[in-house]
Amino acid sequence: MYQPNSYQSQGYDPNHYASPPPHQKGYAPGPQNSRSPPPLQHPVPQHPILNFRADAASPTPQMAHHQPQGNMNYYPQQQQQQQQQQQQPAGAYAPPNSNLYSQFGFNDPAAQMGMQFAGTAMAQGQAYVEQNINRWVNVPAVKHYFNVNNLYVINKLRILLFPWRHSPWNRMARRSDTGQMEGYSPPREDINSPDLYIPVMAFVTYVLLCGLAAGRKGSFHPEVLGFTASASLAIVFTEVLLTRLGIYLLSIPSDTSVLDLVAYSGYKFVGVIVTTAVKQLGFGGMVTWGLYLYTSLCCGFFLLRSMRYLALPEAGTASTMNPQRKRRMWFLLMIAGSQVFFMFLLTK
Amino acid sequence: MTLGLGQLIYVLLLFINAIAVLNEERFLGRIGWSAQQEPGFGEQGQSIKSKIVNLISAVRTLLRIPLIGINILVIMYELILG
Repeated sequence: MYQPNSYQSQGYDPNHYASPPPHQKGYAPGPQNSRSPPPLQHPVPQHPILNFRADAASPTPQMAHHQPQGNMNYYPQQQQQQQQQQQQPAGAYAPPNSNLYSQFGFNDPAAQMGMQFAGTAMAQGQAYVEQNINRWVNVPAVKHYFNVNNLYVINKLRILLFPWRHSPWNRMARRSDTGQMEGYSPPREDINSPDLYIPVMAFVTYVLLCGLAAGRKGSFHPEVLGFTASASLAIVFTEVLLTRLGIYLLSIPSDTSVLDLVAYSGYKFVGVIVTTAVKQLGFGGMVTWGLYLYTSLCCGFFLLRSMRYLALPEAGTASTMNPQRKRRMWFLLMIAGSQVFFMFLLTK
Repeated sequence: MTLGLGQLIYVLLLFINAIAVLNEERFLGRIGWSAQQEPGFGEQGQSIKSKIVNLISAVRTLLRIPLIGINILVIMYELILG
């Protein structure tokens, strides 16, 4: 079974695994002190394990010098022999325990240092990520669009689906003490302000709903979600790009960010969701088509009124229909009309 | 199914390529879209045509070098994985 001699022939004293004698009394009252056979949980050591332990423990050779003397003093010769044979498995297996103990006992400061180091590294990494995100994305500007509450969301959804009765469409400007305009009020305070919460949630809901529809047809595959998300993102992207191009070409003096356009472009998902859900509920083609027409017209009307400040910033002053203004009106009408087309692509 | 994001990127890339290959002397100058003309000073706002001409010349000058790399990347991708 175990061969202590082969060990000693290799030059490793098996006893050096155990702690030195003063320590044995301290915290390793293992099989060395008692004559009872080693505890049962010690497995029978196999050769590879023994060799591995020996190699692993070899960096501490100075302990091996003290060890035999200590054992000589404690035990008579014959017992020593027997003890060695019993100690061989114990000694081979004890080191993990004692090493573990010493790790917990002695290396605690090291562990703390490691934890501290990891903590600083984490903090630094987080700061780095935040810095990089701040460089590419204006985080306060994005937070402004998510500053919503329940009342705003409910009212906004109502306006999106029934935009005909809503009367004031002007955005509330936030003014400084001197009366200068410094941006717009957040959506929490202004019902007409565009937000990003509803578009993002509607987008996710739409993707899941398309997955559900595919599942009901029995053709669900995880890629369906990816395809749908990609296609609808592409539609939003195209619309934002075209709108931005139109704003540039018409030289509309707008300080609106792209996020505004993304928000306005994302509002159409609400109508699309309603149409798709009704379609999934099993209503006939006429109902679905009617609902699609209604929601697309609603969305177009909503955008026509909401983006008026964007396309016609000097709405109040210019009463004359100069050609530039006329062109911008057409541009606005085209955006509203394109909703019908894009929503058709999405509901299909 | 409608276009995905990948196809949209291809479409944009092809469009930008199409703008970038427009030749100044052979094509743009003949139809009067050359960017060399001096913009009239004092006009209130620029016309759509001058905006488009500006955009084309900007794309031609600015995106010429990056387009080479992007085109090579896309061609390699299409050859290997497409």
